Amino acid sequence: MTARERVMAVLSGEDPDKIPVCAFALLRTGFQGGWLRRLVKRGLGVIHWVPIHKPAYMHPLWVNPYLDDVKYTQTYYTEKGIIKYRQTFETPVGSITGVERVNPLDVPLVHAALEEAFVKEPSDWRVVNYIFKGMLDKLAPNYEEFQRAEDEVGDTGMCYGIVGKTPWQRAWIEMASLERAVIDFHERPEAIQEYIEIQKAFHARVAEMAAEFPAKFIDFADNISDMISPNYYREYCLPIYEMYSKVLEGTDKVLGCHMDGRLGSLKNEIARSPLKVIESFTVPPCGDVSLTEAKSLWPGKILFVNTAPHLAWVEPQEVRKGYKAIAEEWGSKRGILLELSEDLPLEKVEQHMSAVMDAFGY
Amino acid sequence: MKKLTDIIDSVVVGNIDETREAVRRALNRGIAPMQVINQGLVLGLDVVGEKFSTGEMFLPELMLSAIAAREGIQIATEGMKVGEYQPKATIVLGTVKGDVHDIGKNLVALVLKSRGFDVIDLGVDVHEEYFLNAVKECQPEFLGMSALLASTMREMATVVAALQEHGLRNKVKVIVGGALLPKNLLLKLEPTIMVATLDLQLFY
Repeated sequence: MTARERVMAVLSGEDPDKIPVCAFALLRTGFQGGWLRRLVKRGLGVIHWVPIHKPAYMHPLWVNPYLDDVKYTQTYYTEKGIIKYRQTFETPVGSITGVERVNPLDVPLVHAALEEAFVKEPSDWRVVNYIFKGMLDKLAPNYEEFQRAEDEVGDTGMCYGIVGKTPWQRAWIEMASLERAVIDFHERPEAIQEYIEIQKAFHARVAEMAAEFPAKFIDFADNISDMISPNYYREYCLPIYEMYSKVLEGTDKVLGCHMDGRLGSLKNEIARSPLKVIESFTVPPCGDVSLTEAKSLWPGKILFVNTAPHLAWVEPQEVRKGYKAIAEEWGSKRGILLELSEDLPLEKVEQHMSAVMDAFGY
Repeated sequence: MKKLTDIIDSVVVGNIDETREAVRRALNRGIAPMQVINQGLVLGLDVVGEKFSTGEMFLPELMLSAIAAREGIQIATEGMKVGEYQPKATIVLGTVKGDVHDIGKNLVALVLKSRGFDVIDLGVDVHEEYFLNAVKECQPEFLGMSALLASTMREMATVVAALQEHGLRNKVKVIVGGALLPKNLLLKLEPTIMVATLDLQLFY
C-alpha cells in the first residue's frame, strides 16, 4: 500500500497493511527538511493542513486584512533575539492590537505564542465581533490550495481539511489571555454573548463549505485538553461539532479534532461527541487516557496518536520498544495512525521517526 | 479562629466582585487582614484544591477562584504596614530557553500569588544565566522552570547544572513543570526536583 492508501484505509474503517506513520509537512522546512524526504522513501506519510475556507480567521498565519472598513497593520521585529510581530486592527467600533512571538527554534510559526493578547478589556470583544461579522460574507472555499497540496503530496500522504477553533478555545488561545477569557466567559457581558453567536454563525458558514470540500478528513484545530472543563466542552464545543456532523451526513467525510493534551476529564464528553477521529492523541505517561481505556470508552473512534513525548529523548532501541508496546496495546492495525504532529527535538527527529517505522514493520 | 464563610464561599465559586466585597466587609468589621487571608481566602483555596484534585473542579474554574483570592489578598494587604505582610516564600519562575509557552507557568504564578507567595516571573525563553542571576539576587526558596516542548526540556538540566557549578543548587528547591514533561527525563535531572502540579495542597 502507499502511504495515502494506508491513511485512507484507517479513515474508512479498514485494515491497512501496516499502521500508517505520518508527519506534518510544516515540520519539513529548514535544515531538518532532508529527513522527511528520506523517510518518505521508506513509506512515511506526509500530512498537509489546509484551511477549508479563505481567507481564514484572525490568526497570524491566515489573517484576513481585506475588510473595507478595517485598517490592518502587521509589523515584524526582533526583541532580545526573539522574532515577534504586532498586528493591529482599526475598525469603526474600536481598535485592537496583539503581539505574537515566534519560537526561536527552526520551526516557522508552528510554535508562535500570544505574548500580548488582542482582547485586554471586555469591550475589546466588540472589535473582534465586528471583524468576524465582516468576514462572514467574505468566506470562500479554499479548493485551489487544497488541490495544489493534494497534487503535491500525491500517494505519499494526504491533506486534512482544517476548521478553526470553537468559541471558548478560540477565545483563550487566539484572542485573549486565559485570565481575561476565564473572567469574561464566567461573567458573560453582552459582548461575549455576541461573540459566541457570531462564532456559531461563522462555523455554520464553514460547515456548509466542509460538506463540499474535497478532503476526506475534516479536522478541528481545536487543541482540546484539560484547559477546558466538561461544562464548557458541552456548551461551546459539542454543539459546533454536532453542527458539522449533521451537515456532513450523507457524505463520506470523516470528522475529527486535534486533541493534544490530557483528556481524562473529558472522557465521557468525547464519547458522546460525533467526532470520529481523535487527532494527536497523547499516550501515557504524558497523556492520562491509556489506549486500552480509549478503546473501551470510545469504541469505533479512530486514534491518530502523536509521537510519544516520553520517548523523545531515549535511545533508538527504547523508542522502538516503546512504539511496539503502543502497537501491542492497541492490538490491531485498524483505527490507529501514528503522526508526528507535535514537536520532537530537531536533532532527534530522523532517528526517532526511523525507529518508529522500524517498530511498525517498515 | 472563626472561619470567614462568606469569603470562603465567594472564592470557591470564583466570584471576584463578591470576594472583594466580602474582604472589605470583614476588614470594616475590624477583622485583622491576616485573619481575612488565612481564615477566608486561603481556606477557600483549600476547598478549591480539594475539588480540583477530586475532579469536581477544572482548570478554568480553578483559575477563577485563584483570581478571586488574589484580588482579595490585594485588598487585605493594602492597609498593612511595610513588613507586616510576609510572603510565605519567594519563587522565581520562568519558561526555559527556546520555549515561548507560558500558560501553565502563568497559572502557577497566579495560584502561588493567591497563596501568599512572592512570585518573580522571568517570562519566557529564559536563558540559564537569567535564572542564575535571579537566584543569586533574589535568594528565593524555590526556582520553578516550565517547558512545554520536548525540544526544550533539556534546558532544565542546563540550569540545574549551572546552579550546581555556582554552588547554588543546595540553596534553592527546584520545581519543574510542563504539559509534556516525561518522568524519564525528570529522573535524569536531579533526584531532589519536585514536579509541579496544580494541586494547591502542594503549596499549602
